[in-house]
Amino acid sequence: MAQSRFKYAGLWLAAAMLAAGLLYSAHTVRITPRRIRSIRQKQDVLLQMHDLQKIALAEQAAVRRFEDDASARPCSLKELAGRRADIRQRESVQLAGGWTLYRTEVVFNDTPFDAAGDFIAAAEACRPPWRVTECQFSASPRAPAAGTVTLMLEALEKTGGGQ
Amino acid sequence: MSKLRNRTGYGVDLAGGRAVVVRSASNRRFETVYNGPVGEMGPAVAAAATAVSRGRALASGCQSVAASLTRVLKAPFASVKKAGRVLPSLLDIQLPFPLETCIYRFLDVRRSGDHVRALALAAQDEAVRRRMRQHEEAGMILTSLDHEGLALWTESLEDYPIEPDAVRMVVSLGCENTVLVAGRGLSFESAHHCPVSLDRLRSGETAAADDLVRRMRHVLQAGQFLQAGQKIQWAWTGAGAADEALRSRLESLLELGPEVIRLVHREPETMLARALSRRAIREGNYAVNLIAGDRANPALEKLRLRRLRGAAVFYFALGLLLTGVNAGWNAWLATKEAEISRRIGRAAEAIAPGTRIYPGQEFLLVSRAREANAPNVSPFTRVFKPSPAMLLRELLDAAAAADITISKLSLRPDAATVTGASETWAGCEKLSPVFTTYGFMVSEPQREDAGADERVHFSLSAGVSDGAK
Repeated sequence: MAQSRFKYAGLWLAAAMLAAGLLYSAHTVRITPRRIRSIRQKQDVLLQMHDLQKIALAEQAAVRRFEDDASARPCSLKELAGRRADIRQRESVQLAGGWTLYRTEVVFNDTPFDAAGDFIAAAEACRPPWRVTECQFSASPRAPAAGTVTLMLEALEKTGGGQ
Repeated sequence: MSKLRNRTGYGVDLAGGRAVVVRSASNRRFETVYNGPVGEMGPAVAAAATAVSRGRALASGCQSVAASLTRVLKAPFASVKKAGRVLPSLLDIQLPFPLETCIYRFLDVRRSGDHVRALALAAQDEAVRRRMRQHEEAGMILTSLDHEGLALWTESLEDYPIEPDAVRMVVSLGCENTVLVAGRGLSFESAHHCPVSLDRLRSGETAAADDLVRRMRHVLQAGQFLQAGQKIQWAWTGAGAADEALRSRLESLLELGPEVIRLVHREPETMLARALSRRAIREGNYAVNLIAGDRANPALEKLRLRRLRGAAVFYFALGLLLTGVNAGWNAWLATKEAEISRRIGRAAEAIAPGTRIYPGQEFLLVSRAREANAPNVSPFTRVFKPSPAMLLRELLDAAAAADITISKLSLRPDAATVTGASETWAGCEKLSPVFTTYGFMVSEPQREDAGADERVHFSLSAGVSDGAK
């Protein structure tokens, strides 16, 4: 009697285990495509994040290079341009980390375009550099390749103590 | 009847003081284990008996045709289920002893036209006990008690397949008596015994052969096998089948013509034991066991229990394996997903430190944080991009080389325009490659009004594509 009870208990247990295994398998088959889709989506996000990270690292490296030479000031445009240029500071923008962005307009009248080019090259060679963001050349009717040159330059300077 | 599957089966044929034991394996190989006097069988088959008692093999003997009865019953019902209820009563009418004293089975129950046909097999309870005792005394406790006639019939069909409508008479010339089994196609029809021993037949006693032949003719007539044009196959087996002279004498008494099909079974002396050993381990239409139920061999129950336990363990292990594999797979997926989420979180923290990042929105929040911080960072990165001054220098050089006079030039980070004059229309297009090198998209040059200098006046516009900004 006891053996019979054991026999059937064992069978029931085996049947229950098998049923559990089959149900679990069915559940797995049902949810696996969804989970794989979710993993693939996350992998795509991760790839995009890695791309962003590369850009962010490049940006951080750019900032670091300025930080390494934070005590330096942009060179004087007046000294570079001499008296022939009309120089006006347009704006100064406070940036994070104690940096200030200066935007300055330089206007040359009746100047050969090549000479303006030499001025730009000299400004960009300074450390920290001036950077041309916009320029307009208007030739004079009297002389080809010469006229009015309007340049917009910007430079960064550490003016505060932030990081 | 459901039979426990086993790889090894023993068939035990006890008759006329002699015993034949044949072992069969599921790969259809047969081996005669013993063929000799019953009294000496015990020690020779001790190993086989042990294997049977431990449930490692099955052993089958047979109830002789002489001590049993077979009848084809026809129940006037179309339903097999309904017919099953009246078959015992139909059998009871045909029995010369009370049904209650019998062990009976109904085999091959099937619909045939408007009635149900069944083969009834019955043996007196006492005869079955006696037969079991004979086997026990000989040294083998059986797991099943088969029927001699059915065993001979199915084995004959194994040896020589039969056409669907052919009639076959299997004649087993045994030491003790002769057994006749008749059937049509695959259907067993009847089994009969004739108390004519092989010794009497071999002695040349005319009466013995005449008795046997008369009995054979009676069986053929009673079974309505002698229809016009019906060819009967005569299959000889038993210890006497190898005696060609005896066979010839019986065939001549039966007046069998040359057109009659004569078959002699291979190793006829051991055919019955071979049939029993095969049927011990194989399912079949005429499988039968007269000692099922309370009288079943305990070894059989032991074997059944072991199989049950084995099945339970197998299915439990299968369930466990399925659960384990699924749990492992799901855990692996969860781990992989969590790892990717962690890496996304780490990347987000590295890109936008201090930003509150919610799971699932990392890219959106980081992009917003970067957009918000762009004015703080872009002046630094602009410095390391190709300078507009270089573009300006190359434009001036290209203009000088192509003899282009620039009257106006405007250069902004995302747009540029050039107005000027050149010697030819093709000359103005020489500025386009310079813009293209710096990532600008150049539109078609526009022709301007001609001046007094007879040069071609033009304007050229270029812009930065969205992707290059």
